[in-house]
Amino acid sequence: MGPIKFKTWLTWALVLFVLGLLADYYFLHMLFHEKQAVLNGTAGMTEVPSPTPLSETADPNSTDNSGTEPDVDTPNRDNFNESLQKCAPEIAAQAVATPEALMEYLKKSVGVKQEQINIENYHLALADGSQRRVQLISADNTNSANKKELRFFKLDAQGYPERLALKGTETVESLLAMGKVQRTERKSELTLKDGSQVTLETHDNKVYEFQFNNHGKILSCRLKECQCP
Amino acid sequence: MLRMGLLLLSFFFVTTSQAAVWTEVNQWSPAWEDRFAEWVKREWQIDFFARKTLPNGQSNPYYGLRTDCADTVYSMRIVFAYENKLPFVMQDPTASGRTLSNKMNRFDKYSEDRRIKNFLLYMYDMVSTKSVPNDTYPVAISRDIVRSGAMILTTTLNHHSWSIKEMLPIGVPHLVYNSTIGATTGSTLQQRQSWPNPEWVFEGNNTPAGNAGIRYWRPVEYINQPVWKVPGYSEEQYRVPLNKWNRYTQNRLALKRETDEQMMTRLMHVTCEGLVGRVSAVNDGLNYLKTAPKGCMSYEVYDTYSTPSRDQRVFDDYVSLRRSYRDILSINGGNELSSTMKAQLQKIFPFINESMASETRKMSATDLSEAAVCTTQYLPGQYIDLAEFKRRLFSGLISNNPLDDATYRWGQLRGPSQRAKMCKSWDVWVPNLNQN
Repeated sequence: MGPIKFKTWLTWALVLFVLGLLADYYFLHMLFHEKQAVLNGTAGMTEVPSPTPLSETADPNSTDNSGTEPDVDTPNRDNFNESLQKCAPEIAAQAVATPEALMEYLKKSVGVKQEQINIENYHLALADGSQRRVQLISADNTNSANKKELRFFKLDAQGYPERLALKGTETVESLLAMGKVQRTERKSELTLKDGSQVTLETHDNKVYEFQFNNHGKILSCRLKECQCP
Repeated sequence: MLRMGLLLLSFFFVTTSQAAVWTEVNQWSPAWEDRFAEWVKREWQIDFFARKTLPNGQSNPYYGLRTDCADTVYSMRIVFAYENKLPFVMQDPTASGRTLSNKMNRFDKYSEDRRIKNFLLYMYDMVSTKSVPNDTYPVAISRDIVRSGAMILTTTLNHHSWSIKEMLPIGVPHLVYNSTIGATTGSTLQQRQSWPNPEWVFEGNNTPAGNAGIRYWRPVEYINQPVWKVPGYSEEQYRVPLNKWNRYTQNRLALKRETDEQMMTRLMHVTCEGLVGRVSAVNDGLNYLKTAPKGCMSYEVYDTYSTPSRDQRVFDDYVSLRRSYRDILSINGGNELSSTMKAQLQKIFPFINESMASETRKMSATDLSEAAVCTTQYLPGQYIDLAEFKRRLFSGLISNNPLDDATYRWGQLRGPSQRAKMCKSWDVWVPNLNQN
């Protein structure tokens, strides 16, 4: 048997290296992704361990979605009272001191003539720990002014939503019944009985952001940080 | 053997690398916004998704994509960002405080061409007219910002949006948009050179809270921030009365005056496009009726083949034409209009000094005389012009109900037809003549 040539050594080294990489690809890329897909995409039918809990402290300036939960509802400053005084002094005089109290006052004392909910987002946790989102949204591609569209999403490994096909027989209730609602976001438009208007966004039924058109004066607030130009 | 190994190795690295949809090299800046505006003005054509090859002979990577109105607006921004390696970031419509961006790696197993196309398709699943306010802000009425790349959004009630391809020197936008209501919508976009009816754009909420009007893209750092904090945020457009909105806005944005003749020609052209476009939309419905089983329609089928939104838009265009004609007459008696134009307008609006309701009552059927404008074949061997279509539309003869046959759809007979009477109808539109 003659000596093994360098070229043969190199060839075998390359083959082994490629085999190693293929094994790595199979276990870390394919199987791992499949695991993630199972965690996020099979409607909780499989018993799998929970994914790593998502961080509760999102960087509001980050544009990378991975591993962050929705915003931390912390205002930068509180100028609600002075802004309300400027835009709606007649309401400020009623000792309305918080956005919650303002919405309560508008709904109960002024009265709601019409309420249109444009978007509802529900964040769901399934029994297997995977996440889903349910969205009920006013539909675009219709002649109707108030047709709703139901959308259902799983989350990928980066935390990005991915739309799942629905059969057409699902309801919000049936989708929510799949897991536990962890968060509810709702955007609505209210026309009040005195003709004034409010666009309101609530998170877990708490006022998050609104614009109140008080007959031409616009009070805009996110939490207690407000503007009345 | 060695070559093969190396080839295998390089192939392996290409297929396993974790890739964003595209890697951003540049960052948005005023200079890039200028380049975006130039690109939109030059490239944002109605065949952007419909042409198989680009002018340079290469195949069009976006060929065949079908977009609705919101998809169209977002595509404009995404494609430019992709082609210039700029970030694209929008608020995640399913979760406040989160974002969607070009950094997602879900498409990393695809080639770059395929990645961008898949990213666009992904975005079409996510965006809608409801997400537009999160990613844009209302602007001042100034040519500095109301320019190519901006957009117009309606209130939630009418859920529509248009991209601004160009602001014409006369202070009017060249809009590129789309709508997927209908059976045979293709990849070709639609366009018009006029302001949409402000009473439709702002219907139900003419305040900043309604989110309607002219808007521009937020800087990335202002995604998920309160809209009133975005630099350039302006409530100016909400302070303009709706019946003066078009004239005010056009005057503010005009670099040169549009002559009365030019304005009438332009608005007639816009109205004509509405009439011509209606022919194929109605034919879709009539063809369906021929093959469909007798009886009623489900809501989804009815919604696909009915034309209330389309008919209202044509009606609005007539109202805009009429309003502008009246303004001209009150300002200078129409002395800048040619005799041909006067005859054409006289045929369409024979009682211009009266209310729309009165004119509609008095207007009688017209034939295709010399003053006919936009003569259109609407059924085999049957023609109609702007004047006769206006008479039928304003008097409620034109049917938007897909259960009606051609004679009702085009107003030769007053509906509803027997079949329409027997079945449930939805979203029926009737003209509102109580405006001037």
